Amino acid sequence: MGLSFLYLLVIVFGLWYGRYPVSWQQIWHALCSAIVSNRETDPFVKSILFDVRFSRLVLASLVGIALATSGAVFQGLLRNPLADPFTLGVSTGAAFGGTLAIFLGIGSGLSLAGLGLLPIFCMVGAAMALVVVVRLSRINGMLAPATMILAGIVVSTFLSALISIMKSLEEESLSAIVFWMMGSFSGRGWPHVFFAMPYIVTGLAFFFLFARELDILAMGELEARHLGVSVDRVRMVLLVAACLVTAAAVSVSGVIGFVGLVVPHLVRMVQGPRHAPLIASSAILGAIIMVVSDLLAKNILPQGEELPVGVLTTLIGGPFFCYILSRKKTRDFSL
Amino acid sequence: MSLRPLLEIRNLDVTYGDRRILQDISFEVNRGEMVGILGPNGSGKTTLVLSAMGLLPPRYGSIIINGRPVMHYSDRERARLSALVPQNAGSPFPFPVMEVVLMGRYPHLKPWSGYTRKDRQLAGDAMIKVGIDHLAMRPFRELSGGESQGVLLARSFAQAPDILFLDEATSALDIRRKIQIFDLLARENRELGQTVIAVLHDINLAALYLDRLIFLKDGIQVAQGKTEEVLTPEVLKEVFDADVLVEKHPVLGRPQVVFLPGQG
Repeated sequence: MGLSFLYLLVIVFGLWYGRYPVSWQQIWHALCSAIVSNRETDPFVKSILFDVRFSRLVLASLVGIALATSGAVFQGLLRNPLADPFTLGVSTGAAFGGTLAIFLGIGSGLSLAGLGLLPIFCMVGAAMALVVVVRLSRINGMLAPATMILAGIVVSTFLSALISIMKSLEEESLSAIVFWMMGSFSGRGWPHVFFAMPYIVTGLAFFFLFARELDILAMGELEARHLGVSVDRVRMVLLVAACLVTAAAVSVSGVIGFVGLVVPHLVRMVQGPRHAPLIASSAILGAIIMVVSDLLAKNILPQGEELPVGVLTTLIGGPFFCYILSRKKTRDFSL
Repeated sequence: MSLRPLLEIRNLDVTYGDRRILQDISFEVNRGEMVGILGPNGSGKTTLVLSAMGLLPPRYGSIIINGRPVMHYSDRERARLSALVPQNAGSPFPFPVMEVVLMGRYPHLKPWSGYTRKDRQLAGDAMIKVGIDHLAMRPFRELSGGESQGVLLARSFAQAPDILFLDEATSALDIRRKIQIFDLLARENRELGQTVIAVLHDINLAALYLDRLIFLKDGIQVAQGKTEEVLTPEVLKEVFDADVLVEKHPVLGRPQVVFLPGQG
């Protein structure tokens, strides 16, 4: 509850805070006119509020929700508190797809609902990375979590090398690739929101539907099987859902690190490991952290340039995670 | 309730890759029996339990529970028929004991619905029965070996299965906890007719509590029968390659094994 309230505050603040000064009164009027639609509002202010700021707040929230919840799900599935969308190579797969799109010069050329082909490439890249990882880690027909993490790292490293090759081959698109890889919400709008939303909402529904099974899966595969969980089916559904959610986030924002790792951790420390409340709170906290990070990234530099938000989350998240690690070293991370 | 045995295993072969783990195993367990599976390490005891629960598909032979092949039940139906108390279990996440015990109610849930008040009640009852209700809010993974075995036992009670399997569930426990747990199982068996199938290493513990014993060696069923009839120096020599005497328990009169060192 407290978190939801904080989220609302952050959103309202995000509407107000920005380079172009907007008064609280103008926000109020714009809100009223959006709901009742009979009041006169300055169309420029309205467009700043609605198309520039609000769309970006919604997109940042979506991406925060996607990364934090899929992180929580990956951690439960792999029984590893250190897993996140990157561990399985899913993020890197999406990044590879996106880079390939930019490299081939079709990132923004062909238009598909005003988006270009980049998101499609991301989704395909993520799905292919997941397929390879699952294939590699199937032992006697069963998925072994430890092997999955290893396979994820291998696939991830390999794809990173391919990304580097593309960067070095094509000077022209180098800066576009680099900037996209760093993760940012700049220049994104409603089309991106509408692209990512269906995947993220569908994925979230599956996360909640299978939250109880996730609790039991966290006790181990054999345990889950003899307690009556249809392990293979549940795990496949959740892996695919988490993969799609991650890929949707990466495709609209680039690579944004540490949110998927840190947020579920924080929530688990406060309210325990049960997955239904964990996923719910991770979603809200993820949204808050993402929106705040983006507001900072947008406004922190005095000259008016934007900092890529992925750089910011990693700069803050890295040391913060080290702090959590060193604080509860042996207790929480022994497997 | 039919006259058929609760569990029927016929000509069971289980292979793992090219390796044959179990060969031509056949036995029956009736409702309300307490049966032990004994044998040296690597003789296929755990594999037998997992196959009997329907978690490992057999290569050949049939496993029938309540008159129906075990593989024909759904995952949840199987978990309502049989519960397992493993030797140990753990989670990287600090689930409280109450949640772990509640997981035993999972196979009883209706599709897409959560744990009900009744489920919580049954989980609470199971914890009281085992005497671990004071641990309810403690993180499961921080418990001692004895405490966590108690939790796993309570979980399987909450599961209310037709057959309760124990796979070396007491092997790591001290003698007092072992006796406590088997006393509890014996009481469940006496009062509620709970069927128990236990894999264990402690021959004398088995002889004290179990009606019938099945001896495995290298995946082959060497002997099976009533405890008094099958627990003989000859059988133990064949199964464990150890020289023993079988005496009568001074108080209970049940057979007990005395080991003879240095005969090999």
